Amino acid sequence: MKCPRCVQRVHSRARECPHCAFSITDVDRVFGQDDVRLRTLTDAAGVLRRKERVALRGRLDQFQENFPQLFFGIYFGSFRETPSLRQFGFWLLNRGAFEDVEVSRPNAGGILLSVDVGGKSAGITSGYAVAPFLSEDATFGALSVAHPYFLEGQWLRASESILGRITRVLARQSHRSERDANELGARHDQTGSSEVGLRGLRERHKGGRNKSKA
Amino acid sequence: MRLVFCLCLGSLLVNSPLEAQSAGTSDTAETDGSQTGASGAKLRSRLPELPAWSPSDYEGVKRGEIVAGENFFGEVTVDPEATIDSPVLDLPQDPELLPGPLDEGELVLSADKMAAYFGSAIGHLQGESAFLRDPQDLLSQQEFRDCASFLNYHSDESAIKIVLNLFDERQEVVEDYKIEKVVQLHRDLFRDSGPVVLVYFYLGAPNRAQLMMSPEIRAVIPQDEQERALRAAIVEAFEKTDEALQLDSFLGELSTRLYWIERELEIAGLHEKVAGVQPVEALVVPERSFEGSSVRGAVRAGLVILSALVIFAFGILTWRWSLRHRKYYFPEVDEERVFGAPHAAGAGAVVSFADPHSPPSRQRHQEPDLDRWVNS
Repeated sequence: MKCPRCVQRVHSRARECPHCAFSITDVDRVFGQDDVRLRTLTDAAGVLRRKERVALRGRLDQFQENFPQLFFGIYFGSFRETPSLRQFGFWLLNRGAFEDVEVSRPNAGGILLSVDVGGKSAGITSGYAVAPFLSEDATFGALSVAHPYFLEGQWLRASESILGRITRVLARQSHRSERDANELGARHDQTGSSEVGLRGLRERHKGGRNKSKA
Repeated sequence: MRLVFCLCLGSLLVNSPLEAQSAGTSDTAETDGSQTGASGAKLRSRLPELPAWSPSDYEGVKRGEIVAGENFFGEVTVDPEATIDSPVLDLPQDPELLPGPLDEGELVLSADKMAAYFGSAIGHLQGESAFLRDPQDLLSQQEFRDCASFLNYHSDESAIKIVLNLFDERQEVVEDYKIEKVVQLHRDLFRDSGPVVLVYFYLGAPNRAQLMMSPEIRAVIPQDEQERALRAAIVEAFEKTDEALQLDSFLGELSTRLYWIERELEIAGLHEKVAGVQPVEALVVPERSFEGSSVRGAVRAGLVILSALVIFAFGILTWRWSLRHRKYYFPEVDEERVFGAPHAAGAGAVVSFADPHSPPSRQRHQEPDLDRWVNS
């Protein structure tokens, strides 16, 4: 996991960045600490036509149908005064209250595409539930695919290409995790353990924990 | 012969002058061995009279003028004047008379005689004479039955029937019944016959054999292939010397060749149709049938392609539909809060698209935002 401000790797349980002391309070101070009500498709910059909004909303609904635990949000804005798009995305996914997302899908399962139309940059932020399956390189690949459309100002096509790319990556990761879970379950059946999942796997890794304690 | 030679040589030695000198004491010898004397008498009774030696011969032997046994190895003197008294018996004459030459009337078969070959239509004949025509009784009854049964067997197994007309070795056919013209001039003969091979076979002269295939076959099988079949059958016939066996071999090879011709007919797609086709002088296939078949073929191919496309499109749509409605799940992971954030801390990539000439990798934000953050 990387710090949204200094882009340095941090521990997964760090309360603040050990390098730059970044925490959510820093961005709350800039953007506000209250929740923000918005929809999964927010065109604050007004770059999408009505038809494009309808089409893109359909694609977002399709994503939610394919991934019952996740949702995808797109925010078009102009952040000339915003210090960092990465920090904005981090803040919005934590403080955003998406109206068109079911309660059963928390923001931890969200993926947010933030597009700074004025600053000409785009970034992707993912929740805790998605982050293990969506690496930074994968998000960069998706943004690279959409890069020509961004250059031409084709926001709909850029968003669709990013959505399609991330859908494929997540589908592949889902298959892989399902297969790994099956293998893990089979291994547990052989060893007689009833615990399945990452928690059980970590708890059995006693040697490593003892070493860290030591 | 060798035994006789030894006996003669032995008797010469026994009657030699040496023995003659001791002849005075022979009486005593006879009295000593009666068995020896009896066997000698018996032997002498079976042998011709031997020449007697004279004292002058003995002297000649001692001088080397006479060599014992010389006459056995010398040249035999043949008396040119000698004659054989025993009469030579004449061999009995062959009671069967060889067939004489045919008359001129028999050499050229008239139209009346030929009518006997084509008395009824080929398709209407039944029984042994259905495929074998031998009104001159050139074959024996047994040979006729064998040949007819083979032709019947062939007709059961093959769609192309063999109609065999037998002629004698030197017989000729009148012009109207030449094999080339029979099919044209006597169409009624081949009515309802189906594909037929008409064969003129001249017993004793297989090389004169001729065949003519019905128009349905000729329309498909080229002429040179028909001739090859005939030549192969003739060559096979010449493997035998007997006339009936020649005919047998000829028909066997012809039947084999017709099998392959039949296969070609099947491939050409005419096999099913030929049963209903009437023999005509020259098979002219109407263009409309070609057009019709080509149109039907095109329609059929189009339908096949169309159905394949429909199936392919249906498969694609089904695949897309299943992909669209497929659901993907992820295992739940421990939410370990980072930076105090309640939901998300996964900072993904940020790419700028300000410069259209630089690739995304050159416009990727990797540097920290500390300065701007501090300033703000």
